[in-house]
Amino acid sequence: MFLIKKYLYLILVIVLASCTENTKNIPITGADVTSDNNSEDTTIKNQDDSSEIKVSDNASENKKSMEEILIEELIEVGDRVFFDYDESRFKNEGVETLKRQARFLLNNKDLTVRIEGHCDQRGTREYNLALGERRAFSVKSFLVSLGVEESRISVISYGKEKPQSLNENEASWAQNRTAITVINQ
Amino acid sequence: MKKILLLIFYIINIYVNPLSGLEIDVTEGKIEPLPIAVVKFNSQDATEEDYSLKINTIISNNLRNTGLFKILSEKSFLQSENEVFLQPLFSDWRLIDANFLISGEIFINNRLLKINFKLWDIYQEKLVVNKNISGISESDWRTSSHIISNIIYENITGEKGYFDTKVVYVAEEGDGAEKSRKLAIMDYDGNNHKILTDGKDLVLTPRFSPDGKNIVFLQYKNNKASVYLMNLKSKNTKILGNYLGMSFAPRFSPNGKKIIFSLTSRGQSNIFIQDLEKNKNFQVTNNKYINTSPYFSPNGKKIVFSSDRAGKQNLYIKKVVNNFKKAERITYGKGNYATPVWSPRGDYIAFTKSYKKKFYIGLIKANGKGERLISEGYLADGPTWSPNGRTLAFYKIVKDQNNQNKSKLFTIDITGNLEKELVTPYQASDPDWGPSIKY
Repeated sequence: MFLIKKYLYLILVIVLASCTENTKNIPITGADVTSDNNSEDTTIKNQDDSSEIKVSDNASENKKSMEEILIEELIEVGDRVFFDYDESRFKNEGVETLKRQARFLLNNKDLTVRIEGHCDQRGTREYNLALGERRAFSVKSFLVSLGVEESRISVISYGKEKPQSLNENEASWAQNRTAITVINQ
Repeated sequence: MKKILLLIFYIINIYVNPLSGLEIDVTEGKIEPLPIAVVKFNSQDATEEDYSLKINTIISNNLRNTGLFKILSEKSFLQSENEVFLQPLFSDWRLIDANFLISGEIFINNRLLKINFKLWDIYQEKLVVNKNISGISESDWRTSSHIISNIIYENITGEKGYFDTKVVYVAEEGDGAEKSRKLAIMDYDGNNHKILTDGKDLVLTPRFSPDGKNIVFLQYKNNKASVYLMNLKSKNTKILGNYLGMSFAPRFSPNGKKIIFSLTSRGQSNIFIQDLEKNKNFQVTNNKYINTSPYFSPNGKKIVFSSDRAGKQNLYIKKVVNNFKKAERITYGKGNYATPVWSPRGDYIAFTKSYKKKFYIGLIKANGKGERLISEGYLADGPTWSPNGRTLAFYKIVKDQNNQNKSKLFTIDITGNLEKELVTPYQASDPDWGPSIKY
């Protein structure tokens, strides 16, 4: 049921995307498009003539949309859990988030993700790298315990090097003590 | 060791002599700086005089930076520089309490500098050093000032000078998650600044090899953080090893043949040593905790590291030759102890301590006694020793005039006096003070 709903949504987005493509991009010539998009579409473009370039553009547009949809879906599901100061076991409210993440991952078997562990600023640099790793791993173990294949999840720690918020108060430190699940592209 | 003994002998000697002005407060370990006169070197024309002033400034700064010397004001000098160079009137210099006096002559010929400099011991009324340095191209005036400073320092203290040393660090631009970090290198006094990496990849914790020719550091590439090595001359970079987990917190061994670092596995961080010649590695700690920031003792037989195996982070010492014994805990105070660095003299271990939301740079003896906090500040971290083990560099976050947080480098004398900013063109963190390079 879930899948069917998603695919319907996807088809709708494809239709919408091609509509906007047709209305908005008419003035852009084929030549312009090739020079701009050479990195993504080279294989397709090499075989196709200019009239079909649009088709390849749509294809890449759709692929991007699908990625975007999945990213949005993961954010809706909840892409992050939070931790108390100097703790590597996520807060209790994270349990439900991770259950939804696990369901999302089980529904999208071709996705691999990485879990990025983060810490707030109030720690030394090297210790925080280790703490971020521990946080990311605690999320990974929980997802694995819910049936997600271990090989689909990697972990990376950013320590305190990529804070979500720069403010110096408990609210922003709490935001920075997090593990974020990110889809590999 | 001989030199250290010599220094101790020298200090005691001076201490006994009340005329010399050098006093030691034994309980606090504070040293009253020794007054010294740095007289402008003689010159024949304006260009030479310009160099003379610049060289004089560098020598004065170098000696002042050690915390051992007080540079006497030129205004107090009774004798002119021309006369001094030939023969100081010792009684005149004793009047202003100069213990030592530096004078010299400078010549420029075909854009080459020639410097003749002298060091006088005022109380013993003796010429200690009389040396010529020649064949220096004008553009190397700064290096020659450092060489002169080294010779003066060595002759007064019996210790090797370190004024030609470099510092590597992380240069930071921007803020937050968008902050760009580049490895950078400069002279120990903040001059000759150079950037080493392009800022595309996140880089942290650069550390010198003992010969000063290579650095080891942490770099993020393709969503993985690993230890890398860079040759400073060629800028060639290579990964230390393709490990499964994240490798981080690297340091060279004292003989430069090994890298000690942390490696993660299943959320745990344990310490490993990679032998660069034999291409082998072995594990030093093996538990489910965080074991990180390993640092070799000067003789390479022990390591100090930080671990949270007892709940909070504490410092531990472990033997790494022959039979490894159980790690021995050396810190028992309140708060967390992290990022230990062993003094090149072997006596002290400097560390970062955090307690009740404050950060400190502290010292403790290798036997766990005599803990002392010498600096305090928001997010202070990353202490590194000067090659003579008398000064530490570190970084901390300070507010700028717009109340914005800025990461800056500082140096502090181990007595806890003389904290001052080591000015860098960018925001800076993770300093590592390199070895003296032979000339």
